[in-house]
Amino acid sequence: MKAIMPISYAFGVAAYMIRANKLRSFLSILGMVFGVATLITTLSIGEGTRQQILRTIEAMGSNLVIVSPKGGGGTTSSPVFDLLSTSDSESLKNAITDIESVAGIFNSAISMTRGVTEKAVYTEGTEPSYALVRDLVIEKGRFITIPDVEDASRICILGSKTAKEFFPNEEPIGKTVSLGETSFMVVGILTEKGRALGIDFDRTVFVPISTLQELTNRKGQVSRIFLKAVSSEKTGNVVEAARNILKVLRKGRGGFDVWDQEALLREKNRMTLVFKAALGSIAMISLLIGGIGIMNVLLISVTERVREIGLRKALGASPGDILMQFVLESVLLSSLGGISGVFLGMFLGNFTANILIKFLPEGGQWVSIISLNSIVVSLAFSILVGLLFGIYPAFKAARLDPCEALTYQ
Amino acid sequence: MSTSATTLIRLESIHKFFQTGLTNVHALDGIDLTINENEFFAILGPSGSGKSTLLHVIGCLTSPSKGTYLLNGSDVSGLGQWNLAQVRNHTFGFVFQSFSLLSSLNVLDNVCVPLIYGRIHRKERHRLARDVIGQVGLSHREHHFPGQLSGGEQQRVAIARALVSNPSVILADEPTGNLDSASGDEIMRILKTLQKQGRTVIIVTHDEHIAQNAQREIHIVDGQISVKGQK
Repeated sequence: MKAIMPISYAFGVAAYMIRANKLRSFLSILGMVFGVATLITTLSIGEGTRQQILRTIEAMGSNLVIVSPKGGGGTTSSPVFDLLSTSDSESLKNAITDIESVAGIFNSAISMTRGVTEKAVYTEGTEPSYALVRDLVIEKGRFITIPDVEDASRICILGSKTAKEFFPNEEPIGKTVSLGETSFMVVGILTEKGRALGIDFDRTVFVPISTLQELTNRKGQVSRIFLKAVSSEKTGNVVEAARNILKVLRKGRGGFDVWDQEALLREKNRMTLVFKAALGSIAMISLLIGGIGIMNVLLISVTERVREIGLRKALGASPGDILMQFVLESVLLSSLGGISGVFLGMFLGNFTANILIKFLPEGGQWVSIISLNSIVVSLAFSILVGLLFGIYPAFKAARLDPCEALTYQ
Repeated sequence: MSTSATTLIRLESIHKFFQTGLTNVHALDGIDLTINENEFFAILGPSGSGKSTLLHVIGCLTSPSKGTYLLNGSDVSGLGQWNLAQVRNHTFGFVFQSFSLLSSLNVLDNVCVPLIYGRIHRKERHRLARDVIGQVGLSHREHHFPGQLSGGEQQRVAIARALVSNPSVILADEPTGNLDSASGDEIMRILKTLQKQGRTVIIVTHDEHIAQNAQREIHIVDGQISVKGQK
C-alpha cells in the first residue's frame, strides 16, 4: 500500500480551495509576487549592467593596459595635467618588451563649428598607433600619420555620429571644421564603435596629439597612455613593468594608476555583485514576508475547515494525508505567486531599463537580461518559502483530533 | 443473544476524559460492552450523556483515556494516528446526523473520498462508488452536488460513502435526526438491509422509536450504561 494519497488528488483539492477563495488567495500571494518580481528585476538589471560593462570593456580594445594619473582612471575623462608626459610614453615604449604598440592621448572638450552647426565635442589628441591600440577602424579617408604629429597638422578624424551631425548632406573628407578658433581639415571618418571608458567614440574628434597640446599650451603633456600587450597572458607583466618604470622615472613618487581590462572587469563585477546582493537581500526579505502572508491565510483556512478535516480523518485520511494536503496548497499558492512574480519582474526589468536609458548619455544602451538561472532560482525559492511556511499550518491541521474536529462549531 | 455469535467489539472499563476550557469532563465512566458481528445495535441516551463519545471511541475517532478496546480480538486502544486512520478506513463506515458531505464535490466524488485515503486507483474508485450509489438508488444523481439534493438523498449519499470501502461496521450518529419521518424511515430501511447483508450496524439515537429497529440497545446516562436491553 502506498504511504500517501495520490498527489494528483491532493493537488486537485488544493487547486479547488484556491479557486474557491480567489480574493483571499490573490491577497495572500501578493507579497510573494512582489518579492519574486523584485528578485527578477534586480537580477535582470544586474545582469544587464554586467553585460553593458563587458561590452564597454571589450570596446576598449584588446590586451589593453592603461596608465592614467591617480584618480583619473576608470571612466573619468577629465585631464589631470603635469602628471604624465610624452617622454613617459616614449620610455614605456622603449623599455617594455611584451607590447605591440603604445599611444598617448591628450584630451579636451572644444567647441566645433561648421556653418551654423556648433557643438562642444570631446577631442582626443593622439598618435598614429592609437588606431591599432584601441581597435579603431577607418571607414573613409585615413587616420593620423607620423608627419601629422611631427608637423602638428591641422587635420582631424571624425567619429561616425559627429560626421553625420556636421555633414548631414555632404561628403566630409576634404572639408574644414573649426575647433576653437582654428580650422581643421577632415581627413577620415571612423566606423561606428560605440562607447568605452565613458567615451563615445562615435562622437569623438581625433587630432594629432602635438596639435592639441599646442592649441591648449600643454606641450609634452599626456592625459593617458595606452599600451597594447602582445597577448592577453602578457598584460599582467606589462602592468608590472609599466608600474616599475614609472616609479623609477618619478623617483618613487606615485601619482599614477596602471591597470588592465581584467582589473577593471574585476572591479566592475564586484560592484555589480554588491548591487545584486543589496537589492537581492531586500527581495529575499519581501519573499519571506510573502511566505508569512501565505502562512496566515493557511492558518485561517485550517480554522475554517476544521470540520472538513475531521470528516476526512473519519473517512480514513491519515495525519500525513492532511499534512500533504495543506503543504501542497501552500506550495501551489507560492508557486502561483512565483510565476506571476517572474512575469511582473520581466515587465519591471524592461521598464526600469527603459527609464535608465534616459539617464545615460545619448547612444547608451541598457537592456534587462533575464537569465533562465534567475527564473529557476526565483521559482525554486518561492516553492521553498511555500514549503517552509506551509508546514506549520499543515502540521496544525494534521494534528487535529478527528473527534473534536467533527464536533467543532 | 445467540451463544454462537462472534464478538466483534469488546470494551472493558473504558473511560474518556475531556478538558473543555478549565473544566474536566468525564464523558465515559467505565463502559463495559460487547457487540457481536452482524448485530443491529442501538446506543440511546439524552443529549450530553456520552453516547456520541462512545460511538467515537468505537469508531476509533478517539482513543479511550483508560480501559481496553478489542476490535476483532486486537487491542486498538493504544494504536497511533496512522494505524487508527487505516482502521477507520477499512473497518468503519460513518453516517452523521448532518450528512457531512463536502459541498464542493458532486455525489460521485463525495462517495469516492474514503477510497482515495484507501489508495484505490481512480478507475476502480469510480466503479465501486457507482455500485454503492446504485444500491442507495441515486444513480441518476451522481453528478449532482449536495446542495441540489434533498435531506433524505444527502443521507443516502452519506450511506453510500460509508459503504464504499466495504467496511464490516456501519456507525450512524443520529442518522435520521435532520430528516422528515418518511426519509427517516427510508434511511432505517437501508440500514436494516445492510445488517441483513451481514454488516454490523451501530446506531446512536435519543429516539426510542428509531431504536426499536435494533436487536439490542443500551442506555447511557452520565457516561455510564444504565440499561441494557435485548429484544
